[in-house]
Amino acid sequence: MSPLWLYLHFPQMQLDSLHPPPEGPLVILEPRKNRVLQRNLPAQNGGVSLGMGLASVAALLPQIEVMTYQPELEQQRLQALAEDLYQWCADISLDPPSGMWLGCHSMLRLYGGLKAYWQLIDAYLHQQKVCTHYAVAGSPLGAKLLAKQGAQHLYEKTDEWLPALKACQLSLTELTSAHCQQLARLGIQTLGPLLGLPLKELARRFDIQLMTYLGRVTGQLKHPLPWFRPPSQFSRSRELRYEAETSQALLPIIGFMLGELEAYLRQRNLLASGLKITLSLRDKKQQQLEIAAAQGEYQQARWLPLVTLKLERFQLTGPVQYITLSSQTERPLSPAREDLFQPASGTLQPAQLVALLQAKLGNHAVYSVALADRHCPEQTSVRLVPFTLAPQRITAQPKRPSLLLPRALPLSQQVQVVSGPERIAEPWWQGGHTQRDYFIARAQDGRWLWIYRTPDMRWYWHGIFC
Amino acid sequence: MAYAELFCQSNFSFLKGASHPEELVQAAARLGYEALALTDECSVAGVVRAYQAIKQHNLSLRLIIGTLVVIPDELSLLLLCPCREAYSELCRVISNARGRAEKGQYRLHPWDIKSLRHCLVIWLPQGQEQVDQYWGKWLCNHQRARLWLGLSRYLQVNEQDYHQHCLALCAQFQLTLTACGGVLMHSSERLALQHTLTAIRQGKTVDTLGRELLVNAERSLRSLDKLTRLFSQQALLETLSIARRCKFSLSKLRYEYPAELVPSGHNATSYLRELVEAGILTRFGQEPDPDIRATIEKELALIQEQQYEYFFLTIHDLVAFARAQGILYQGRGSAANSVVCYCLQITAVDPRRVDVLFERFISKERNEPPDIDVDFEHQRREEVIQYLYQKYGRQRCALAATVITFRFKSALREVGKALGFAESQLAHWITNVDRRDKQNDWRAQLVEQGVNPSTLKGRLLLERVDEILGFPRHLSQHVGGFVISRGSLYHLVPIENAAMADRTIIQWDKDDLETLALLKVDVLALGMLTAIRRCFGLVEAYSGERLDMAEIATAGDDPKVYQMIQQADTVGVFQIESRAQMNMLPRLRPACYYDLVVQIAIVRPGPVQGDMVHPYLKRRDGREAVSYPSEAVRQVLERTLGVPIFQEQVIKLAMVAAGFSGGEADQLRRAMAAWKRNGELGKFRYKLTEGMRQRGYSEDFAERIYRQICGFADYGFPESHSASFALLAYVSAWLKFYHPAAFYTALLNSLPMGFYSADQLVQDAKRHGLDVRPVCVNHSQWHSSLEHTDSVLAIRLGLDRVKGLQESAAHNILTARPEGGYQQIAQLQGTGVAASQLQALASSGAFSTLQGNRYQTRWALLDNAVSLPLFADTESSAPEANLAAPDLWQDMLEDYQSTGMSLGNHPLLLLARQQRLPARTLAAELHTIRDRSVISIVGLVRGRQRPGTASGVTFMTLEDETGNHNVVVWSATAHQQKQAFLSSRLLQVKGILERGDAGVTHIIAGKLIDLSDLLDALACQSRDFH
Repeated sequence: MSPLWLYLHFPQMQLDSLHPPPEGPLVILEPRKNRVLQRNLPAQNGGVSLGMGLASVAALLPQIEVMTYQPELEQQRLQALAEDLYQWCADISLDPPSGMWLGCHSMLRLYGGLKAYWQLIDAYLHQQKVCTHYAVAGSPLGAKLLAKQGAQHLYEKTDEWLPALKACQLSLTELTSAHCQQLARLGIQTLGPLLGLPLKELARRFDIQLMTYLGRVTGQLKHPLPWFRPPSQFSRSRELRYEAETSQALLPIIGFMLGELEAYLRQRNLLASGLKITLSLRDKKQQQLEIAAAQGEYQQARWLPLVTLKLERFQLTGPVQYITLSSQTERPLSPAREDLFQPASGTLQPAQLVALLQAKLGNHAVYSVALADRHCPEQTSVRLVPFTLAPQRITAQPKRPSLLLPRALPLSQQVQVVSGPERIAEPWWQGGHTQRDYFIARAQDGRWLWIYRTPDMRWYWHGIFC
Repeated sequence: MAYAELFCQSNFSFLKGASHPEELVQAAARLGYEALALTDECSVAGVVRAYQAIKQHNLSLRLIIGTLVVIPDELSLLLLCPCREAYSELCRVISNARGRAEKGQYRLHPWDIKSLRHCLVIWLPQGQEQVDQYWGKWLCNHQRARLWLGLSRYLQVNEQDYHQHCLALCAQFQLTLTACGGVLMHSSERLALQHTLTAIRQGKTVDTLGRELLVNAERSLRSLDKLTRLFSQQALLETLSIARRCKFSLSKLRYEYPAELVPSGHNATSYLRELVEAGILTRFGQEPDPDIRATIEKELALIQEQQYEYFFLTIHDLVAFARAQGILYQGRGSAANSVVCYCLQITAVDPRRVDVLFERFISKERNEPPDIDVDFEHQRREEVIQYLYQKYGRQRCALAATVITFRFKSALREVGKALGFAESQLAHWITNVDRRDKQNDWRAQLVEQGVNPSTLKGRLLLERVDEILGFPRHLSQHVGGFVISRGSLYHLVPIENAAMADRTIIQWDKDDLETLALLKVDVLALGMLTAIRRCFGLVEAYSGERLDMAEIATAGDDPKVYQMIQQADTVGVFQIESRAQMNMLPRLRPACYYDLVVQIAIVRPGPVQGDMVHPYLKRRDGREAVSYPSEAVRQVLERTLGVPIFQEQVIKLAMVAAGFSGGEADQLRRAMAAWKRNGELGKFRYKLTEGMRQRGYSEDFAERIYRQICGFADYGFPESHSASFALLAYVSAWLKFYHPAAFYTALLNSLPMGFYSADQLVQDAKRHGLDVRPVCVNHSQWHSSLEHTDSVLAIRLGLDRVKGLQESAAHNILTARPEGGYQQIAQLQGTGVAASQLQALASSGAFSTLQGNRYQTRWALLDNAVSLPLFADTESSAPEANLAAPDLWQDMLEDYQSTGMSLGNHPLLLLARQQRLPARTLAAELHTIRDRSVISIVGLVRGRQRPGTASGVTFMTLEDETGNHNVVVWSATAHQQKQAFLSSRLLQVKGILERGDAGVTHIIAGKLIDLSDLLDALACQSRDFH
């Protein structure tokens, strides 16, 4: 069975992945030289062409929306597409950021021929609303070249795809721009004439990369590809024997499924750092619940309290008939180092405590604090995600109060000024206009206060010293 | 209550100070300070401006010269100058510190401080015990007598501790405390700008700088009230006591000329006299006419009175060197057109042919040194500069500086980055703001582009950019202004390193030098001089005839040459080759030398803007009567038919018709020159019009003169310049007429220069019937050369035309070239020249005599097996690869890419053959079209010229295969079709043909259609906006 490769090229992956799809004209620019990489239909109708500079685009369509090219977004989408396509093809190889190979020779018998196979895949891609250029050829690089050339054709036999290959532009191949330039200077712009030159002469003039490429694209040399492996996932569904009206009623069955999860994870020595519970309701609707644990967990005993807490605040919109539990982001287990001789401190690790608190109070309510390098007192503490390190090590300012009020209060008592003034200007780039003169003062009840005065002579107190 | 500020930095502490020196002195005077010390960091670059501002506004503030020097984290000192010797010391310290480091940096060494004998030293302690103890002891050991401790108060967090620390140091070392402001800005409103400057300096955004920014605006000039509350009475009084010791003023600086120019047995006057008498014989051959002799005596008397002998001797020495080396030169400038200079052979303008304006020569009232610029051949100017360095030494000779300031583009980019705008966004705005748009200034254009002034960020951006425009960024070397002194330069001004290796600059720019009446010799470069010398060389080589510029000039006005000029056949001719000039030539029809002088001066933005051209033309043609409102005016304007054309005429009118004194007229001249910087001409309007009215001139006349002055401002040409240039214009025209092949060849070898590219010059040569032969590996030299076959001269393009070919490789090829030329490519590979160089040569088609087409050649070149001599005999009969030959289009494209021109077919001809062009009229057919007809033309955009006329018109030159089109684009058209106008390379223009008097044809553009994508990779360049 001669190998057959299907190459899928997604020329405007980022554009197609925008949600919601833009209505007006939009272009995606390459950041360094501001050249158009992708454009949507309204932009194209407005006269924007690929490779155009930003100034030209703006002159044509002043209202156009502009975004920067982000290859990471494309890669994520590619990954998601590959995971879905995995159900129809076992031999997938990714070509980031926006292409992939599907080895289809082994699938043809199952799906009844190339055409039928392609219809299946095409339907899926259509449903995903992603613009695709495709081609089938006997070598991976050949398929890629034909797809980029815009072939949109399934070539099954060698005597079909080899001639088609010869008409392809060299600029679309994997050859470096230096090679392409050199060849252009010999009058060679397409693959045909290049393949027509005697190999020995070529070898004397060009390097091994070019020769290897030629061998691979014509299928004469083997081209091993790295295979794509979808991430493993745990997913179980259970139908309820009777509809559950309250979330509490779901707990026993979830507990049972968590036990299955624990067994699955323990077998593979993995940890799950997130769970997704999908509740299918009577009226065909669905609700989803996501629970995260900062440190991965596998034990049912650890997940259950988190799920319970989450469910406490969760409102069901209808009776539940069906539950699906799936795990997300699994990673290998590496046990926390524990010294046998250390006295046991509580049973909870800090990360577990944080996860519990976040589950109970909400993610935004639990945070770490660090010092920031700022003059303005309100901005010297910053909130960070728990356990992350501050970006810089800051030395604290001297003569700062131990407790800073979130908002300064007007000073309403008699105080005795001890030291100062320290003048701090409000940051003008955030719209501040004035300055504050800070003083350390002693109140009548003996407390040490940090007070300030504005230019219009109004006094406030902002903090307390220990 | 009085105070003297001793610690103040202006924006000449680059990217640190946030106010101009002028602003600082004015603010300090307003606040009632007695004195201000300008102490920029290791620099005195700003002091002259402060000095000038005080003089100009008559401020009662005294300026103290000083500087701040720092060893980071160790020592900070203020050095102030009480007397002239201290100033020399200061300059020496700065020069040494700057000399030790690279451009823009300095490194202070304790020895520098140890060596001070006169400067006053104020120590600014660091606040750290160990460091301060060390330096306190050290300073007391070496500078006890003139040492103070400076205390600053910025209302920062640890100030009380610092204050106690300083008091303790004073007690320990027995020092007197003085108050210091630490001023970085003249008003607290500049705090935002100061932060922005810090952000620009660190390359970060303002909100990521954190505590590196100033915490408050205390580092500004503060009121006396406030200072009393911050400092003790004693500390404040001490500032006055220090300030009153500083009696040095910049007006005490006296220039001293290098003394070695005068040989023994002479003094300056007698030596100058001897040289002038010798010169008279050379120039006139005999005793000159009595009025010329009278002028010479008058000039020499004035020179002696003003003691400028050395100045002329210095220049004479310089040009004598150039003459000895065979370097062509031309002097110009106010003093250049004097008979003395003619005798000293500094200029070649014969005073018998031009009415020398004596007043412009050296004005007694001006009290300024005379001004002479000398142009040298641009390719040999470096030799002249090296001569100066060698003769006077690096200590005594340095270039004047140029202050590089923030202009719109750099301001928007840097401020935008500091405020956190995306670079792509800033780049977008920059390209879309047209600085020359007179209707919308840059602010309005930015708002149009989407910068919203009602948002915080938008408003901040506009405000900061506005403030930063004109701020200095760094010093750079001036084009050619040298300062040469008798003793070391650092007695006068500090020297620092420039970016170019082995170049040093002084810290003042040419305006500062002028303010202080210091001498500057301008050593400039002029491309045409190189071209003329090369042409002379070529002519001598093929015919033996030796030509000389002065001879050609004095031979009289050749009518044939003037006929060529009148027909505007002046591509390549100095000063009269631009499109605007070529349009004017058939109308003005210059027929003699003085006509050329007028021609050159009149076609410049000044006269056109000032509404001068048409009256002159009309009067010349006799269509308008020539009349003068008074005899005085007639004397001034007679030679230009009553129309003021030269800058000197305007000055003279101001004196004669409006009663300006010499000094006032000089101020007017300066205001005209500085118009761009501070627009102060308005002040003179009243005086001018009133003065003229009082003397009986009509209001209409007065208004007209004022408008003409405004038009002149910074564009008007002095007659002396024009006269010098007219000489070169005539000589180059003469050469073009009589020795065209040599002329074009010389121009090609002197590029870059002039108005036209090599391609356009070659096309003009071909249109004159000259044979231009392509680059050939067997016939070309490095430079373009002449080939003669049976007394017909042809131009052979040189290897220097080939892009990517280095001179060393070309040299190897030429030396290895066998008698009959190369026969095979392999021979070239055997010369050892790098493969990339041979590829470059192949691209230019230089191998066409060897191998046929470029592709075959390159294929052969790529074969690396043949390059070693060992393999030369084996397997040379490899099967030839089957490569298709390039078509005409490909050939032409490569020609352009490689040499910038194509001797074969014009791109438009090829496009037309391929039927890719719309219907059009050729340039050669234009004369058959009726005036006012609708017409469509297509051409390569070769030039966009926008003379600064008020109406905002742009002249475009479009080239097709038969010639050039003159297209006029009005600003409205340009505005609406901005894209096609600004960036197209191949343009179709639909418009109306307009035929003016004298047959000059223009096309007024209506619709502009960009056809540039038809050109693909064409490397044609357009010369924009000159």
